[in-house]
Amino acid sequence: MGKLQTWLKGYIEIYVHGNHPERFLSLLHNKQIHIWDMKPSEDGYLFKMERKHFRDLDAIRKKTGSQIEVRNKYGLPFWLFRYRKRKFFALGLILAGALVYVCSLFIWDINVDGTYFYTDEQIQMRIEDEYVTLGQRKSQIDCNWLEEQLRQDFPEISWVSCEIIGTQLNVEIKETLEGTEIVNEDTPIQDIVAAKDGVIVEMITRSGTPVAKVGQTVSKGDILISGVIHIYDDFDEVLETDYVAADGDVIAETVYTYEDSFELQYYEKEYTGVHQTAITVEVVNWVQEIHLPWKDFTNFDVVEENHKLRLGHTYYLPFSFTVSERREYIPVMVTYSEEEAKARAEERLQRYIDNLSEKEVEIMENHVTIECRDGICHAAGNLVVWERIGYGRELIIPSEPQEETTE
Amino acid sequence: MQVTSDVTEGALILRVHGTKEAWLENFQSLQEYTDEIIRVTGKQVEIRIYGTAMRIEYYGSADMKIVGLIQKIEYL
Repeated sequence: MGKLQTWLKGYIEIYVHGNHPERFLSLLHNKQIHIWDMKPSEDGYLFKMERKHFRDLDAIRKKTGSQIEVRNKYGLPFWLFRYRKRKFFALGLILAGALVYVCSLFIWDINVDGTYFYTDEQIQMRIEDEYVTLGQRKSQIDCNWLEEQLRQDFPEISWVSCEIIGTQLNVEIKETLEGTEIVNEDTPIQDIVAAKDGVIVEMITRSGTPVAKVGQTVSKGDILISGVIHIYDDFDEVLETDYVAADGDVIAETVYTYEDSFELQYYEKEYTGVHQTAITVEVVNWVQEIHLPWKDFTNFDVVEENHKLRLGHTYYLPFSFTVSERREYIPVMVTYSEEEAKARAEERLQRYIDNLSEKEVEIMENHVTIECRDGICHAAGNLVVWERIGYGRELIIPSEPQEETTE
Repeated sequence: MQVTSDVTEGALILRVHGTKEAWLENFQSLQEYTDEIIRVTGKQVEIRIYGTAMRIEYYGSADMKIVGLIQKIEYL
């Protein structure tokens, strides 16, 4: 018999002693009463047996003149008997179990992962507003349909997977990589023109006729690679004209003008150490804020921490609470020293340069100077950079000259 | 067909695994049980199993299981 089955039926530990306890055991054997964990103890034996055979022991005891004692009782029947007066406790256990089961039928949390261009909140809001509300039955949610809707709503999403784990809807997203161009086989006939003024330093032509050359100064809008290809005959006369989508890389040296300034005086928060805490309890859509009357703070920060109750990792419950803390501070006027101001200006310039570098702009020369005058720190100057300046502009094919040449 | 003596005569069956486990079938009664000795009678024979930390793990209507460090077995 399995241990669980034995526990469910209940079993007892018996101590038998007196005259010939071995005879007592032999009679148990003859009556086919199964016992286990038998061990000698004091003047007799300790053993365990099923609860249902206990009444049979009386006859054996009388026959052998032994004495028996029940030392311990184990199993469900004894446990129920012990707690028979705690009906409400048992009822509470059953109700809690039922509540947990009922809650497990609904979605109580939406988790979005893998965003880059969009934000998790943006996608989560769209799902909650349009497709899946918190508290919706899991059986009503069609993950394939939801994936399709998200792909339509957010064109930058290249792959999306929705999955229900526990009471949580998990949405995993992969977006089109930044800088990846969508290859369009029907690229229109185009020229490559300059997006800004500069001096060309590198040029690679993949298709079309190069118009500009390395070292040449170009202005915004100048054609760099033409989409028109002339084919000449032996007499240097145009035999044929083809129109193609010009393609190539044109890198030019350009100049960025940088200007930044900030006041040397600024306010810093000096926290007084006085704070006040409030707790907000949320049960599905019911929200209740619990706090003492708010203290009269003139300036304060609010720090909120939201805790969703869950069982395990994915079994979210429809209960959450938010602890919000108001921290009082006094704004104190502080002035940067010249060194501090310059360090801050350099830090801001470096951030600007880092942003340019992310756009594949290579900084070649830095002519920015930083000066602090009249309570203001100025950073101004030029940055000489190398960057791609070519972009495609649609080419309109002239119709009349073509007719003339064919005649 | 040969019928074994445990069926025809109710002979005692003793099965020992190594020195730590033994099973007894067709026994009649337990005569003595301590940490050092377990004495069991069958129809025609008495078996004494000597050892240390001897325990009867279960004692059923058909068989019993003995565990401990068995050192000697005697037939009387």
